[in-house]
Amino acid sequence: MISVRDLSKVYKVKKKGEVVALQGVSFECRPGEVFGLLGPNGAGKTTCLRIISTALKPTNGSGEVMGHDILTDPAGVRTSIGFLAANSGLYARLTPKEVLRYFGTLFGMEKAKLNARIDELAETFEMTEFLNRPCDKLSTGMKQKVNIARTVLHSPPVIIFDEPTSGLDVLTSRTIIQFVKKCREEQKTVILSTHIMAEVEKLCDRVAIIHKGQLFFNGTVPEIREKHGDDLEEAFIQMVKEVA
Amino acid sequence: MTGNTWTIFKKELLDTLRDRKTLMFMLLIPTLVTPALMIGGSRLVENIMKKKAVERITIVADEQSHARYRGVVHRWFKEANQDFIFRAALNIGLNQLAQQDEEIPAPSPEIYTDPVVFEEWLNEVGDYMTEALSGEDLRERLSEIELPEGSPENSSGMSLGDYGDTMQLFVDFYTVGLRGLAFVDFETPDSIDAPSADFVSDGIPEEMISQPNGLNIAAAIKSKKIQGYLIFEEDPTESLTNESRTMPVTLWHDSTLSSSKEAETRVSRVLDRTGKLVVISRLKKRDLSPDFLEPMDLKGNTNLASPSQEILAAVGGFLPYLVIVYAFLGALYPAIDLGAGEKERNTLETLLLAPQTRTEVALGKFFVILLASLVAAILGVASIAISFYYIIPASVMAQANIQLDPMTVIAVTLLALPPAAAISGIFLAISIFARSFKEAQNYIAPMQFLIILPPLAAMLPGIEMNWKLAMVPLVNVSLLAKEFLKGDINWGYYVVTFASTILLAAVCIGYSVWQFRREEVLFRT
Ligand SMILES: Nc1ncnc2c1ncn2[C@@H]1O[C@H](COP(=O)(O)OP(=O)(O)OP(=O)(O)O)[C@@H](O)[C@H]1O
Ligand SMILES: [Mg+2]
Repeated sequence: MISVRDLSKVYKVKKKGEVVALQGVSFECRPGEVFGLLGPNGAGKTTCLRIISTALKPTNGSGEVMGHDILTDPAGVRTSIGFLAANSGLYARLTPKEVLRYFGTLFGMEKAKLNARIDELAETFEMTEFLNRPCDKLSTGMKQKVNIARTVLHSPPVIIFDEPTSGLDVLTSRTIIQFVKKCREEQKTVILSTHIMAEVEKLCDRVAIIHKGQLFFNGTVPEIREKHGDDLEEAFIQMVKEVA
Repeated sequence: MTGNTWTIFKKELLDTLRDRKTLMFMLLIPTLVTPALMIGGSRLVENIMKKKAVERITIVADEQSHARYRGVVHRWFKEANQDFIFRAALNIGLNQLAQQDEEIPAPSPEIYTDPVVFEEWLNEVGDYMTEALSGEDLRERLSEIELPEGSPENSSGMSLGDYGDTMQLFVDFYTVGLRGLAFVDFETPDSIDAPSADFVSDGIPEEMISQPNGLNIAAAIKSKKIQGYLIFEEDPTESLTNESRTMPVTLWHDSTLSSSKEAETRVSRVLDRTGKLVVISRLKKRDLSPDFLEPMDLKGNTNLASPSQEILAAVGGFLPYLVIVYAFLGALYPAIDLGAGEKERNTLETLLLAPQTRTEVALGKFFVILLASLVAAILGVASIAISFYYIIPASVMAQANIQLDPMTVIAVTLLALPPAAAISGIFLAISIFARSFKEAQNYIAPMQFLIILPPLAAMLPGIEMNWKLAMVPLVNVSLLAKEFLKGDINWGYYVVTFASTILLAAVCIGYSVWQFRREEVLFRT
């Protein structure tokens, strides 16, 4: 369960002054639901997800994740979420197993439990074969699998994906898409950002569209269709134009 | 250390140990490269000096000047032979040497009377004698030469090696006889091809450019065809008997060319040593003792510093300085890797979203950098200390008997901790601020001057510890270590130095922790 109210974020940038990245954004996403954050480049999607995950503090507004307040209980928020950052990397000189152990320990998992969980995830994502190879020797797809395994390692009830499929080929994207679906089946709360319409259509139960830091649509995919016609891409462009 | 800090520390350490660049800077350079450079460098200098000493040089002199110069060297030889120990040792030694090696001809008695025979003989035995007379164990070998039983030389019951002045005469044999005459090729002006005169002749005396016989002396020296041009205007056998006059000798040379400079060194030594012996014989003739020329002398053996203290005083400024340089080198790569490296690999955001606090992240990383820095500093100093044993001649080392008590060693090692901590803290702060590896390197590069230059002051001989300097971080560490090595342990200075550097370190660590909590630093775009 995630709920945010009236989130704003202003970046102070030298020379340029202030950049308003987010302005009065409110929404909720519920367990068993995949929530899509849709918007063009620079819309504020990453900023929004970083605020929810407590990496950034909002300039204004508040939010809760699984009952933990993002301002007063950031540690509580962090234990309840699995976060996959955009273009997330891995420690090149460590093996996937070492990376997973590292994060598992930081998340306070017991050693025996952690090892069992790593074995389980290795099976699920078919990583057994490269579990002990240095990460810089892995293919992009393998790396992404390790990243996902790391994201869900501590079985968080909330999963946050920032553009999970950007730069990946169709096959690897599919692993991720299937994984997101599985999370939904497990009654997890999933929020993901993207600007790929097809993904939204396939995955998301609800969509929020933001542009220039403002949220101007929050509803289901059928609702978009109803208002703007069948071609989602065209609908998106139209909506963005309307705001501008 | 909290559990999370420990987890981060362990992971970063593992990561760092797998990084070749870090290992190189932390282990390889301090333990191998620097000592190798030091030992290699000192050997190289030694070899060059040795080679210079026996290098054959060419001096142009007309036959008359050559003969007069030879006469001066021979004069030295005759005067030296006044010393019965020298005479006996030379005779006996040469005979023994001749017996050992058949190629060495026993000297004919004429070498004492005929300068030409003397020069021929010197040329013949030159290389062999060089070997016999150079080297550190000359005194030892001289003492092995037995004086004939019942001879006046033997009556005192002393061995040859016991005579200090005789030692000097043997050294002179090498510098005056061999280097001054045997290793010099004399050419007459007309046997040298005149080199083309296309060289810059600004400021060169006219007479050196156009000699009556057509040889351009200046061009010949500048083009390294010859090393010097020697002119004896007077006959030394006559001139040296005139006690109220200084005999002039001319040697044209170029001090910027090393071989030509060597020619000047050799000729001036010949004149100097021969001159000294001539003076002594003049004094004797008038029944004056050599003391006549030395009304006063500082007594020997009044130096309270032991040889070991002298060595440490010389090395003292250098060693602690290296502590800081190695602490710097050791921290450099881990710091860049642990801060900017996380950004460059896009792992930082993920790490920050694990439950630990940002302070814990900063500290975990800090301790790894500190460890690398300390390891490099300690290894570096240890290996430098060991290589000094190879550079300083064994005989000096044996006399020096350097022994550091464990307390001093521990105190000096502990002293490396605060500067290493300060350096690690600053580096981590810079590194996490940087967007990329490259940017971090660019920021750290100018830091070198801030960190490496101030402690350099401690190496200056005149600068000694005082209360004000004890409060200047980095400089104080160098100075204190220098004092320690000299054996002056002032615990007051120690406390002030430690406290002020710890304070700096605390500020640096605090600064880097603060950087880790600023989102504009972590998510700089
Ligand atoms: N750390 C930062 N400092 C200053 N400005 C920032 C920072 N991060 C983002 N911005 C600015 O805030 C705005 C929103 O950026 P954000 O990254 O949230 O957009 P996004 O929707 O994720 O875009 P993209 O699809 O390109 O990832 C942009 O104008 C961006 O330039
Ligand atoms: Mg983004």
